[in-house]
Amino acid sequence: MTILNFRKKASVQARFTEWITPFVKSLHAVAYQYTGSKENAEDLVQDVIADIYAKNRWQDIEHPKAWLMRCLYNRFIDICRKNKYQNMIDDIDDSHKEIVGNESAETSVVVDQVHNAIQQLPPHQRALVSLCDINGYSLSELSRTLDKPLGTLKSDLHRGRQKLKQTLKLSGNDATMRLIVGGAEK
Amino acid sequence: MKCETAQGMFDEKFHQTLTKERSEVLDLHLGECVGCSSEYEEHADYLKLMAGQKQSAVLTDSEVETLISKAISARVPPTDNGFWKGFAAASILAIGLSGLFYATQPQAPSVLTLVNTQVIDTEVTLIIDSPEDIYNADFRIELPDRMALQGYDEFDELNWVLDFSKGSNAIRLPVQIAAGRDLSEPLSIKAVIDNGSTQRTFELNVDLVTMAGTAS
Repeated sequence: MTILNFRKKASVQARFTEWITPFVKSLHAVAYQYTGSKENAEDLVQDVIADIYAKNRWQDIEHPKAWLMRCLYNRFIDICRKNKYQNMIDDIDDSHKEIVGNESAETSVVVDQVHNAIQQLPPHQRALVSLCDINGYSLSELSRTLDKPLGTLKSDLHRGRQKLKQTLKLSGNDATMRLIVGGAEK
Repeated sequence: MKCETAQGMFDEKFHQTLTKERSEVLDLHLGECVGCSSEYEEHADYLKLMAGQKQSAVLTDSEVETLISKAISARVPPTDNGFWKGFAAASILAIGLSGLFYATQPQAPSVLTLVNTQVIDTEVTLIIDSPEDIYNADFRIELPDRMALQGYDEFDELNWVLDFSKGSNAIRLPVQIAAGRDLSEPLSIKAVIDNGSTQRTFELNVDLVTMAGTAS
């Protein structure tokens, strides 16, 4: 439209790209736990990034990682409310997993089972389990980041964990999982 | 220690973030309480299982690059190449922004150059001198009757978000003047620049006979 406008786009895009790049892998890793597949995680992260870029609020953020995690969480919950990520168990993607430590068939089965069990949780419990138990955020950190009462988070996490433990025990492979977890201790 | 209190400390125990004293108190309880001891083992197994999920589906650097690029392009409106076609000549106005963000009574901008043009399709180039880099300023123009930006003839007001680099910045506006316009009357283009906290309005007058431009 104008010469200056083209220059401006290049300049802002470059600065935004430089700013967002260090956080994308972390965002995607969390989004993967939220959504259950690499492609859905990419869609979710892309959606969040596009929104942040369009609203142009990213330049003054003091704690960008925490803020981005909050954006991701809120976006995920919004989308879940619109049913976009409902019934995604069938879509769970097994093709991109990289397992930490000694990879074995049993380990892979367990990782899949845990992954599937997580996807059966309600969205907010799934998000909390992912953030706390997989990505290592503490509840007090999350309370600040997500702007939610600590007590609410604590009870949601507790419920999510109980369901997960129940699901994993009822899966018929509890003995295998115990064996693998026990083996990891050695 | 109550069982509920002990179980509330399991996460910290597992992640080794308990103080030495609290850890000893919990260990003492776990040694005495079979129920809590069993719960702790189960919880520790659960946390180990969860930790095994962490490295799933890692993006490569090129995938990150593609993802960002797609996200950005999803929000950038496509440019209309036809917008630039058809204009034949240009007039040039110059505006000084020196006082825009610092002075309440900015100095009047001055005209630098003027180039004659065809009557119907022409181009007005604004040279804006900015005292510093300014990002995301809202730039709005209001066009007079019978004048429109080429390709946007249904609009009499347009705005963009612009970055201004320190020094001179050129904004070229390909305009179309409808037939039947009295050329003895100067065209008046209103331009507003707003950086969020400060706003400045310019009145740009173009004499269609001489193609002289003035700004106020």
